[in-house]
Amino acid sequence: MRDISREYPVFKTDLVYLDPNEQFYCAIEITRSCIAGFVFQGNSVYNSLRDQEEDFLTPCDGGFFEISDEDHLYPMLVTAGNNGASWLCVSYNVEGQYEAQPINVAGDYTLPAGWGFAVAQGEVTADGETATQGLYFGPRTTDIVVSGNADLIILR
Amino acid sequence: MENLTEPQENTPPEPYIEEFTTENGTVYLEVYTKAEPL
Repeated sequence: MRDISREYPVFKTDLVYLDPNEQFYCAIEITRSCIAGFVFQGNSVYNSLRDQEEDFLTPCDGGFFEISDEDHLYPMLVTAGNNGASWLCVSYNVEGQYEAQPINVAGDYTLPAGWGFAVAQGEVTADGETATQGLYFGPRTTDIVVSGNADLIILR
Repeated sequence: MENLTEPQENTPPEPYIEEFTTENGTVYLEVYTKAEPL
């Protein structure tokens, strides 16, 4: 397992890679601050979330996911598929209420004022900066145009 | 099973690297860095 972790003042991004069929036990302490993420296409990740009654399996074959407040209460076992698994996870460093939404950019996208974003995959330019996978672009005070081709998780 | 799409990796400057083995034998390699928003 590899984790490329970047800690920003408010948020933290983790690019996580598992080998084929590798399992990762995610303790409550780790899931506590994770709010959303993006599984990259072509991988299969199975989350075994322990609820109060029994374990259940939820396949995730790619795309955006959110971790609810309830999920934070239970540890999680992630099992990679036969080709391995990788995903981006966004966490917060400072307690608060945050929102996360998936945005696919193909060309131009207007990012509303007050929202930042993490790049799940692809590359975009905005406000004179180039943002690539795993990087976080902070919020601006006005709407700005984001250009390129990428899957973003916008955050505020 | 589809082919794995390997994500691009952006190498952060002067990362802190930690490697350890969990109780179930998982080798965990973390490349950590503090960063400023773009």
